[in-house]
Amino acid sequence: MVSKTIVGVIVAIIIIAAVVAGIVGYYATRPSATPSIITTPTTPTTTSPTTTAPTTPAEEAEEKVLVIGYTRPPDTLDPQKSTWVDITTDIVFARLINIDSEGNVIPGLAESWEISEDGKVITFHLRKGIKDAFGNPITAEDVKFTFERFIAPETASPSAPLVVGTLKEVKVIDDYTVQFIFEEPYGPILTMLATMPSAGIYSEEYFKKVGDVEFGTRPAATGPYYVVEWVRGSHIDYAVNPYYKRDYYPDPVIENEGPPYIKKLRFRIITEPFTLVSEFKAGNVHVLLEVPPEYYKELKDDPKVTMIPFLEYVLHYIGFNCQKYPFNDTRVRQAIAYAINREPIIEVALEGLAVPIHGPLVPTMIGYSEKMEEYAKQKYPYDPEKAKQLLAEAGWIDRDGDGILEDKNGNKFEFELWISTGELEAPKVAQIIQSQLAEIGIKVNIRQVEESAFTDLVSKGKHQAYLFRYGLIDAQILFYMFHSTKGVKRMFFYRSDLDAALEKMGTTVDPKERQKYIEEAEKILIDGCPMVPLYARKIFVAYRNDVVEGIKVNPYTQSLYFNDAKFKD
Amino acid sequence: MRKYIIRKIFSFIICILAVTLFSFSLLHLIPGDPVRYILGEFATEEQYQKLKHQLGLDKPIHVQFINWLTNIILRGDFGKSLVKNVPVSQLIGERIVYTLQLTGTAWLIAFALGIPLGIAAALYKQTAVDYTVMGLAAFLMSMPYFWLGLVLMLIFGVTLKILPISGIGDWRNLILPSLTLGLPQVAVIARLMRANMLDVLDKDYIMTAKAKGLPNSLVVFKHALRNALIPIVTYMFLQIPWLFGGAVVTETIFAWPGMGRLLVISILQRDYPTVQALVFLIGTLTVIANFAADLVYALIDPRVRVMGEGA
Repeated sequence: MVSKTIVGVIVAIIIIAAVVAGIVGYYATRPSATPSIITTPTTPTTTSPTTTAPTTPAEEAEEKVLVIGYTRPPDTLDPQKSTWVDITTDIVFARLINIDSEGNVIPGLAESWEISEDGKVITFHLRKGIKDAFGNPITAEDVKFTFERFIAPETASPSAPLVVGTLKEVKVIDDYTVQFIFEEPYGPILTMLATMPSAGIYSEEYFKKVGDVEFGTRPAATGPYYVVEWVRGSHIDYAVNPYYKRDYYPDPVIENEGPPYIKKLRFRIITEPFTLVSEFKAGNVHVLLEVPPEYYKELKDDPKVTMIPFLEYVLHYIGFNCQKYPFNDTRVRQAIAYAINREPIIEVALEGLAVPIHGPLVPTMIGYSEKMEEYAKQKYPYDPEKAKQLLAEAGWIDRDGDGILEDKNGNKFEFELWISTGELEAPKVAQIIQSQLAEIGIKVNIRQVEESAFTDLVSKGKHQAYLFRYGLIDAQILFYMFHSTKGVKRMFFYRSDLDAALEKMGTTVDPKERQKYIEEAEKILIDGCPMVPLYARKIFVAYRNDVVEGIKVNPYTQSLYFNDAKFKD
Repeated sequence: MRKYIIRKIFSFIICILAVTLFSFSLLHLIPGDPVRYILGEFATEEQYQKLKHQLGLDKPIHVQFINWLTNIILRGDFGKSLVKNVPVSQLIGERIVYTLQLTGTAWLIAFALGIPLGIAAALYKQTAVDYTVMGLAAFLMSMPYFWLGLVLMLIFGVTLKILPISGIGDWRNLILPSLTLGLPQVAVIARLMRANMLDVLDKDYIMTAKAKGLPNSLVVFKHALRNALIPIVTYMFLQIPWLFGGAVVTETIFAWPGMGRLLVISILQRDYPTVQALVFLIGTLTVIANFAADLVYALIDPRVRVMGEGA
């Protein structure tokens, strides 16, 4: 009797398992249906083998798919609701204006634009005959809809304040003319409209058809590709927008006048670098958006791999608490600037994959000034003798001969340098700084702090000095980092002349005039020395040159251009 | 029996409530909050407060908990993800299929390999078979999931190129991740099976059966095996929640879009509704698995059943 029960239970378990496996298998391999409301463009997408294995040879013969490997799973594909900017939506949305590979603002969906005298009104003249991926015409009404949804309180867009500032109203003048009206002129507006995917235009009709949630899962708009399917945590499939024209992003480096040659893209989300690189080497992933630094050397010498370097628009720096002893003395901060040698930091801690930065901006930030970078470089050359001399002037002398400086009360020059757990290279960088400062008689204690606690504690002024980073595509970053009331709290370096320059920079739209204020702010920051800029990291896009050719990267926006890419036969 | 079941169900409801309340409080106590995450570091205080209000995160924690619970009980609504702008039920629905595929296969592998290996080791005690099986078991048990996963990937995916390296697709994509998840369990089950079998084979009734002159195979498979299997069947059910735990690492290595990774990402983003729903789900599953184990045990072992009825 007992044995019958056991057999019964085991049989039942096996049957249940088989049924579950069967159902599960069915769901997993079932091709997903495209919603019927979408009118399919030239290539039918309903029968596309979207959930089967990435590249079985049989499929490749039918329709080659370019597979791009990516480590960061997107939160939503609706850029206006996303918490960060990335390439997964960059190729879906075309903007009114753009930034070319030289950093100039160029036309896009708008063929021209005017800025009013006071900077509060920008008028865009749209191209005629623009269509989205499903053939819906794009007119001034769609531009108005795009931006009004962006700034609507119920959208709660995380990026709206940063991208459009105090945009109040979007006014349709006629089908092809649209006016942006601001409460206050917004300095970085051109950079933002020209680089952010959230400033990309979509069709009101399409949006209303699919609704809010669906739009964030399967967006289609004016960019070179649109999303066919997103299997969260696994991959995103794209199809080419048959109505795309080069005019929507007329960067001189792009040659193809029409839609990209490669009809299908797949972004695979692989968070584990080992797996990602293995797939790349096996040829299942054709493009790496960012080569994991630990695999750089291995891939560099592979003849089948082409790497395109670009500079991340993120500055890594040493920040001081300018309100706290001993860093409340400008001479002390400057002394440290003289004592830091960037070369070993880059060569040893970053294995050469970075460039030294001396001023507050990185060359790939819009508004970067070569002149100010040169000024900073001349002002603080690596000079430990000068550092010691400045420290002596500030009263720091080695009074007891133990190799560590003391102030006049006999306190030793010893401070905590905080580093964040979010930066893998930070411990190595900190150790090099530690040894460099030991040479001028300063003892550094390194303390690692968990990243979310790090920013929290630093903003409360609990630190003496830290190692961290800041980044934004525009010089407006200085406003957010250093304005005394409207910025984040980091270095507590408050000066009324700096605030004035930053405010001017933040409200001047004309790029030439704005540049003056950017440089003015930079000069105050270099002279006052609330931080020691260190380096910006070099990032590499890599692709398999035996599979594909013609992929280009815009070094400023760090967008990938697939327009000219072709499969190699 | 009925009383026993009712009492069990009641205690399970309390257990699930306790787990969710605990995880809810814990999640709100740790530093970092979703509003900061969503808005980024440059947001002003005004924007911060506005969004916090909009998301209902400015209410006291106990109010938030009660709201959350009543929504589930009354409407079956797990809410909307704070970061992903999609209903949580949709997020989980999309992924549960892949998690079940992975854990289900791993579960089958564990028992399909573990039980025969354990029996073999017991029958051929202190022979080469026994030593090989037990050596292998010790090796697999002491191997962390991520290491085992990477080694399997390197051998079968990268070097031999006979299986896909990662990702979803057809049944071949399932082999490496489910082996990674299942093999350490094979080891545990083989050892358990061997110990039980040896224990049973030493019993007086086996001696009696052998003395009666029954053929050895009949003694082993009819008398010994069915008794030795009882603890294994229980173990099968208790293992289910463990598989979900191991799946987090396995899913990350093999880029498998299951619930484990969703949980990790959601915790990092402080996406409260998603984390809560997943904890609720995994908690419920654990409780049900325990319940099932108890029931099955009672069903197949009359001694337990009698005790249950007596209580």
